[in-house]
Amino acid sequence: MAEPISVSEALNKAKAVLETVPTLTVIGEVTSFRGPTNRGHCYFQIKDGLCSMNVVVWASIYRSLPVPLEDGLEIVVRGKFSIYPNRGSFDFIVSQVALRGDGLLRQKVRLLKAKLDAEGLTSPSRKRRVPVFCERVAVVTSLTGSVIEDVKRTLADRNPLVAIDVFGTMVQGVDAPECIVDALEKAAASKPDAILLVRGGGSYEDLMTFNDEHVARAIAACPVPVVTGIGHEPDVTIADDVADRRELTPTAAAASVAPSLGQLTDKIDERDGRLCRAMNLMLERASVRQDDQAHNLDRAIDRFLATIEARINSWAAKPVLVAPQGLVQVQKSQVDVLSHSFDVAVQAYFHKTRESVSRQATELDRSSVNLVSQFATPCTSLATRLQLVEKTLFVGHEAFLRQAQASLDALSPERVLERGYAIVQDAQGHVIEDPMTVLPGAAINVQMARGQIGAQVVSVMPVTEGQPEEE
Amino acid sequence: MSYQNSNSSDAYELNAAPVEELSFKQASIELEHIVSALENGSLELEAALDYYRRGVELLSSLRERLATAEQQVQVLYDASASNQG
Repeated sequence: MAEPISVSEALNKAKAVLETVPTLTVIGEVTSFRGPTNRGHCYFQIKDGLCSMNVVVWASIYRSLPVPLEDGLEIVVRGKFSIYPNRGSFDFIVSQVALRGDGLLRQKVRLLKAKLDAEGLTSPSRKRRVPVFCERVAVVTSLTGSVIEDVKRTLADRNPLVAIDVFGTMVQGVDAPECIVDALEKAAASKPDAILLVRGGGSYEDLMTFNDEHVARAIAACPVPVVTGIGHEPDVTIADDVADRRELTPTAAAASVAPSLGQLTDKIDERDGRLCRAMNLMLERASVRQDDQAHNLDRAIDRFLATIEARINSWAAKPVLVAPQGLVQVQKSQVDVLSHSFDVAVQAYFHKTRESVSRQATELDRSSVNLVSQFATPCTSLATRLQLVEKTLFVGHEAFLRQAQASLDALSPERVLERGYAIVQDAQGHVIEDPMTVLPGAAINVQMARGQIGAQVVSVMPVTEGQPEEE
Repeated sequence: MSYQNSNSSDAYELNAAPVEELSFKQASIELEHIVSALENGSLELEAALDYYRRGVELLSSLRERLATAEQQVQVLYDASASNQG
């Protein structure tokens, strides 16, 4: 046995020889593919019927693929063999990769279409109406490339009134589907009248992004109508099938969302014309109606007057107006009859009453005579008795009265005076009872039986004890 | 303003909003309603005149907008920018 070398040395020797193998282009079927690592690199194998080899596809290269790799896909890889000393692994480092033939891809697409058809996502009844005139559209497309400019120009020429909001996205490559889904979401959130999802022409592989299931479902779920314009006329993708409307190209899609300025102008002109004609017609009819109305009014008035006239005439013909005395005559006759009846009745009444009154008068006379004679006797006897009583009563009193008179006479002052007494009065006529009340020289009046003496007081002297009281 | 007609089944309400505040489409639709109402022939003359006047205003605004239209474009979002290019 030769002198042993280290593992590293052994591997380095192999590596040196291996690296003399030139760049190879190898075709094989993908197997043991478990998707990219965190860093995006892919480690898998390709095989033919007999053998398989390890391949390494770096992230940068993998991203350029139109579709993710999966087992069974036939790919063509270009690269060089190498050895990783650390692990001692023998790998083919890929510098270029391409899909071989699109047979498998097409099959994938057919299967997906069948699946979505079965779910009804491609059904015509699902497709929403896109407004004829979208005043604002969202355009989801690549910001690089000519498509966005084509769309802008098409709409600028056709109808500048359409406002365009652009949402940029990748339109091919492994990461493109996720981008498109993101951009569609943002576009829908801006609430345009419609979304244009467009990309320019490319190979079948390039367009595979628009056959992606996530993209299809995002279009189907979009709350805003989606119009697709992908690639050229013959290219139909699943995105086209699921969209609300598919146009043959991006510019066709752009043109489809708004009428041309010419069409708008025509419509305005048409409405202008209709407006004027309608107004004129209305004015004409109004004036005709006015004439009609005036005429109708005249006729109505005439008819009305005729009715009134007829009514007046019919009233005028009534007997009460023509010969009113007829009515009165009837009443008059009735009154006469009644009056006569009344007279007769009154007469009869008076006659009856008179008879009854004279009967009663006679009765009264008879009865009054009776009454008078009834009372005459008692009256006479009463009168006689009254005279008797009178005499008796008076006799007694007469005697008394005579006596009283005699006494009165005797006591009267005039009798006293006749006996010689006198009444002394002062100048005022007052009787002087007390001589001390007069002064000498005062005038006094002495009243006697046969006249008066006017005197003057000479002296006054009271009655003293022992002297007789009178002269 | 609104006009009710005893004969007509559609009593279209005349929009009071200024013409300039309407979008092109809104103005267009209103114009169509006005023309139809007038063609219907059941409006009273006074109401018809008001409708006509509004119609003329709309026509004038629409024509002017067509004549002076300028395309508005803006980029609102770039999804590809958040991915490694």
